[in-house]
Amino acid sequence: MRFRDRPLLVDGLDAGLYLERPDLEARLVDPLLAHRNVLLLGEAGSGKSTLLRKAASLLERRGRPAILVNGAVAEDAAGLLELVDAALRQRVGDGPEGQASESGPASTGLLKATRRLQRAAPVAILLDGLTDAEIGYDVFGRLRDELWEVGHPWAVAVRPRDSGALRTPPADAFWAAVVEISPLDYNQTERLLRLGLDKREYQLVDRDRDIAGAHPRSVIRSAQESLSRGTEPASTVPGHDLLERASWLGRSEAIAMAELQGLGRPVSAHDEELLERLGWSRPYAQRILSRLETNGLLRTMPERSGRDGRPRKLYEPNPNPEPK
Amino acid sequence: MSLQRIHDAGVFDDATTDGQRTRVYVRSGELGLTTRADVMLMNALAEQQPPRRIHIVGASGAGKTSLILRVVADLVRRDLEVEHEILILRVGDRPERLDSPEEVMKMVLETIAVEGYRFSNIRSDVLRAAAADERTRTPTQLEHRAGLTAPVVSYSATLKEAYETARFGQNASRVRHDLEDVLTQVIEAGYRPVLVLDDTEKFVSPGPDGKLDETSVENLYHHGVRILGELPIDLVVAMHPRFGAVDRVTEVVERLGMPRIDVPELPADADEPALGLILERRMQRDGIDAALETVIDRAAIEELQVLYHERHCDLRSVLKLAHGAAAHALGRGSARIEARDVRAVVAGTQ
Repeated sequence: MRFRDRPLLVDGLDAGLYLERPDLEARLVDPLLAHRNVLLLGEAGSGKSTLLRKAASLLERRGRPAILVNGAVAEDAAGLLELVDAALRQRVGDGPEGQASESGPASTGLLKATRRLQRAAPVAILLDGLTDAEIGYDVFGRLRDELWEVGHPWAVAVRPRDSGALRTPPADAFWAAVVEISPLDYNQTERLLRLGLDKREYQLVDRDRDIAGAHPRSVIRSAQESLSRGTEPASTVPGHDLLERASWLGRSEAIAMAELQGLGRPVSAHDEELLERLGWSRPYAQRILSRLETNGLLRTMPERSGRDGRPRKLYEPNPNPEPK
Repeated sequence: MSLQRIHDAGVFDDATTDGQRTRVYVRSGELGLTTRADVMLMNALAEQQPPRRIHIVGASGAGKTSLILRVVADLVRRDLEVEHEILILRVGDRPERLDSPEEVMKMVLETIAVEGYRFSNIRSDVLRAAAADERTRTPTQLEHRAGLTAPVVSYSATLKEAYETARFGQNASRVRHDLEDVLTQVIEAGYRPVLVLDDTEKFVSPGPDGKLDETSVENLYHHGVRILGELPIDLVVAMHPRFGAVDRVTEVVERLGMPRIDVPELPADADEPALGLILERRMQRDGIDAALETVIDRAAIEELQVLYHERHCDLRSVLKLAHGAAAHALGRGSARIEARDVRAVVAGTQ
């Protein structure tokens, strides 16, 4: 299997693994070419980062410079603007404002930081990994008009659940287009599988055609599971029926299991995304997770965090539950 | 092909820079409006005795900033006895930081420092040219022609020295005196200082579920507008109408006796849809030598204007739709926008 469990290097090593989606690419790139800003929405594993890389490549091919910025490492709005400035410096050199940095209150610091982004010609800024709503609101809301004046087109990729602040006035007006990455359809799924699997692998995976309608990461993980099973039928594999076994415990248990499987990461009963999806109170969520754990359907690990006190328990579906 | 040019140049699209906004502005008189917001604001700032405190009220996207910029542009063009120095505060500090009058005044002082020790951040030449009904010129070309007048150079040099030696804005207990000293310098140099709080939504927190965060609105008005309104400056505050529901806002507005100027709503009963005039102005300013009806039919303009009223005067969003409709029409091989193009774009954005 040639698939990568990371965003693809679309112009290099992974060029052969990239699933072309021309319509989607055009919806992202065309506005940027017209100096308009795009908010790109996509669930985890939908290919946001890969799509941004592809967009950068397409823009460069059309003579439009582009930079990729990882917003996940920014601690605040000023930090994000510094990251963008550093990327611009690397790509097109300093701007007319130079690199002079003076201290001042946050607002004027941001004003100065924004003006430092000015360059002789516009550069497409492709921002990925922005999860902090406050940073997003500060930059694209409070600094909206300043960014418009500076004149670079922006594409910002976020999960729909993280997009609230970016779609709240005044930030909402910053976006000329909001593009959402839809799950792969049947044909796209087949094309993706053929890109990453050899003929024998494809035949093994082809049994589980219900993976169509998912995002690329889910398709790849399902393919990995199918391949690791080999020729063993899916129904006999331990863990495959976790959802069914959870449903024996109750409706809430089944719902919680489905959400945990959907999240694809270990979570505690304090996890806001889990609670939002479930619509439950924290105590109720804790009770259900504990029941699933007691019945061996979830496994746990301690959370690593800088918090004082006892570490929280993280839960994830148990890949090897006791036989029924 | 005119529609292709209109699309490629974003002629119908929301204007985002100061120059563009000024250049495509259609005056209330041209729209046939009896309440002429631009004239009222101009009179308040140019004719009446300072200091004036004015409230501009309009929903998001209704055109508050465009109205202010157009009037500012007219101000800098006119040969007035007293010239204006205009500082537009657009970058809001976090509401939780605006917890005292000193913080607000400090923000103003720091903005002046950022602007090169000048009580102005408008690009006069850009606005002057844009307001002169000229065709497209790039802001860069115009900016290089900008020059500072001697009194400005003089007062800003004095301010720079004061900031550096007397540490203006650094000492909380003196911050009001510092700001008053700055204003004295500006006024003694022969200017009338105007402070604009543009788009106050940037100075407040987004409330949960789209509701208004009343505490931050109260902070803005109690610590900001109230105190700035006591200074010898013209103060223009652009506000979303929903702020009016906050008691503290009413209290401050009444205390300062701020007349309210509403951003006008496009007339709905004109023979020709007013939105057509707005689109036509944009074509003229971008040098598109074609009649409006050759690129967009009347039904499409009416459709857009219906959406404008349906969306509570959000002209910005309707202009974005017009741009999208141009792309849609071109996509189906047509050189003219029809109502179905507008409907298709609306269907795709909802």
